[in-house]
Amino acid sequence: MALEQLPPEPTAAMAALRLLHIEADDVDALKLKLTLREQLPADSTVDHVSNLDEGLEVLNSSVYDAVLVGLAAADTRSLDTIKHFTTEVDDTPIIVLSGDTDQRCAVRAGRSGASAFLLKSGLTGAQILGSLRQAMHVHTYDGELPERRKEPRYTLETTAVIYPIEDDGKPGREIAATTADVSESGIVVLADQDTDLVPDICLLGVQCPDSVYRYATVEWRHRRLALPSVRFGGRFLRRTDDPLHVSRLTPRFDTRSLRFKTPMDAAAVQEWVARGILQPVLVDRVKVCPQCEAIPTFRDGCPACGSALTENSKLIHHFACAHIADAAEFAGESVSCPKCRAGNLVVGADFEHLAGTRNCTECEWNDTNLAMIGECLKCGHRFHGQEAIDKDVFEYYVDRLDPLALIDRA
Amino acid sequence: MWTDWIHWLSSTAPDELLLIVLPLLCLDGVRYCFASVAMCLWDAACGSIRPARSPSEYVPDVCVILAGLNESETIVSTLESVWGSYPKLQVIVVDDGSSDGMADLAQEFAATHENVLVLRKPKRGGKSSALNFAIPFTDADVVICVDTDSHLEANAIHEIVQPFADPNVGAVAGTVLARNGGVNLVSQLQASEYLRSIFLGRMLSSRLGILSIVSGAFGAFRREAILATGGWDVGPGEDGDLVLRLRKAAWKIVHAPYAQCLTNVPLAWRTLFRQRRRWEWAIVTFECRKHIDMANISSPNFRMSNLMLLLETWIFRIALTLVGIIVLSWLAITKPGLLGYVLLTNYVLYCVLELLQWIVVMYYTPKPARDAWSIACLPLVPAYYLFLKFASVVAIVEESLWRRSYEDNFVPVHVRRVTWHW
Repeated sequence: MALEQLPPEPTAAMAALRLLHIEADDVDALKLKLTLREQLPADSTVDHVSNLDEGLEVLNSSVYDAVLVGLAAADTRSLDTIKHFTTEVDDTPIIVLSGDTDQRCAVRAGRSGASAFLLKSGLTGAQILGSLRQAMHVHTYDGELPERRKEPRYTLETTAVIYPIEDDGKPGREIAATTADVSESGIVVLADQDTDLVPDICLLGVQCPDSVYRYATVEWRHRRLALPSVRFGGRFLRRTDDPLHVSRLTPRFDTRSLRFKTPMDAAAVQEWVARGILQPVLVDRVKVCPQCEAIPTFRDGCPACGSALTENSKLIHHFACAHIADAAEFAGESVSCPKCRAGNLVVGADFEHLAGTRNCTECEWNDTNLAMIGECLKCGHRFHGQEAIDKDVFEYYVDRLDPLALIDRA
Repeated sequence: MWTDWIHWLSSTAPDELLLIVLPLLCLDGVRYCFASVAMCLWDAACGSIRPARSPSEYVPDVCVILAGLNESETIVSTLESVWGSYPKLQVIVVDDGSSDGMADLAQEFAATHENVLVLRKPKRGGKSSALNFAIPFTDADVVICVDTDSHLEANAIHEIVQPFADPNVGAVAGTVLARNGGVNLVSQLQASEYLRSIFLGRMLSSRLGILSIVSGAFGAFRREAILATGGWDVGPGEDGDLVLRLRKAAWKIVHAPYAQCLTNVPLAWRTLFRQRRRWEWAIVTFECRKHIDMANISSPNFRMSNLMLLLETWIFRIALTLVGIIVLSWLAITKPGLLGYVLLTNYVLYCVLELLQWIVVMYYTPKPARDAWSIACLPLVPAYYLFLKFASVVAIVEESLWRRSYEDNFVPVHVRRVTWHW
């Protein structure tokens, strides 16, 4: 059921409301709950906290349609506090419930930023509901409802699993959970787990209609007891603050180690792969140094010592007698053929140059064919090309959860 | 005509008949037929069994050089027949300025096969320079030249290197046979000729110590001997020229009859004529001019076998060929009625001599089933040899008078312009 803006007059059934009641007096809190029980739309919830600080904490992690703040009689100090509170919570209408009948108290409540002021004595559920409707309708943020409040939330119960992401990036012990509701930017789950054992950032796997688990990285904004479970509410991390973002799982050439590696620690990657969360995809295969597995450079070189510094000997082909020999054999006062003794030979007319064998300038090697030599850029090891090791380069992907698909299902 | 001939035969006196057939008997009869028959009878009497493989196990390092121009269609199959056929083998392909991608195909083969080197000459320089280009790139003991359109038979390299166990041997001639002998009459006749002249004829010449040719299609050379004599000179006929220079340097030249290679022969009469004419130019160029010093008895390098070799060429291949033409011309003019009978008598006798040589070939050949068919074209062989003689006469005359070989495109123009015209 989608959440819609309430019309000024109640012409249609109101959507479920989520209310936060801040009340130090537990008796008053219970009274209000009982008062509202018959009036609020189905599936509405009223959460209770005891003080404003706690209320702020809850509001930072969850979205409420309105906040009901209870004040004790002549509690001027509370009004000052409310002013601070309304400043902090500017996107949620605040209705002050006070035991002080003094009109001046009502004025001051209004000046403190509250949307409405109600006296606790004789307060009916209808009055509260009317004020709520009015306050929610009037309360705007720059002419529009805040995005957070515009975003609809949908109830969804399905199996989920929480993978805590440890400091080293490795997955922690998985925690069974159940989803409660979902929106485009966040999700609420219930889990039987000590909240202290669940870090702020986790990977949440949700079983989708095709029975496949898909994952989203979540930052928990609030955790509250919802006996017998714990209610975790968080927002989806989508950008680079996501430890499992695709940019951290794509291999890049590391200029220090001269290897292809993912920004995420390799050991952590393998842990996630072992859990079946990360799927490796072969993207390339590279030749690496057999000694240190860094990337080498390949070039033609001396098969004996691997040096790239080789020279071609020069041959001379004497046309008249078809003699071909090293140019040094033709050297003399003039170019002379050692076979037929013809002298004063002219290049082009009498002879041509041809490329001869290759000599290595660093060792005694002399032959025809150079070899493909690899030289490691990191450790300097020289080796024949066929000794290089083939190393697969993988990138990893997570089967990502699409909140919209879940919303459709909800 | 046959009955007239028989009648004429029966009516001719024996001494007159002998006079008619004596030239053939004394020349080709002695030189080829009787000598080879005698060799065969001698081997048979000695109980010499034709070996399928040489008993010795000499295994030197070998480098096979495949030098060619625009042989992209055959180079890979040649490489496949060569590579891996011998344990210690290096193969060098020399591309003499091809424009059909021959070197690229060879390079692809080399990329997947060890010890294969491809050298490219940017500009065509001729077969001699292509072969010489490979020499600085090898340290092998024996260098074998194979035509790029040839195919080596099994154990060919093993067979051809065995004579090098004798340190005095400088070159070994293999047996070149026709690969495409069954295509048409021209190729069949050449296939038959190769059996008789290369397989059998060189076996005989080698035995007599007067072998003067190692075919460029399949020949082996000791690398040390090549370096000592300066390698191949500008052709055509560079293979024969190198052998003569090796002989002058006192190297032994032998034949390995069971080192066999199959090569493509010309399929058209015109192509065959041009080929044989080019081959026969070398008789004048090298054996009458460049290497005439082999006949100098006073030379410190004089060897009787070299002189015999020259005499064999001068007498049998030049002088008597010309004399034969003159005699036939005289008969045609003076006794035209007799000419036909003389020709027919010699033709029949030649066929008989060919038959004898065919029997000798069958005794020696390692593949009788392959070579037996050559008898089928035997009746045409004398006519075929007349055709070859005609090409030989043309070559001898034009080379003697005009040095025609130096105008042939077998050698590129920029080379033949500066080389010596012997």
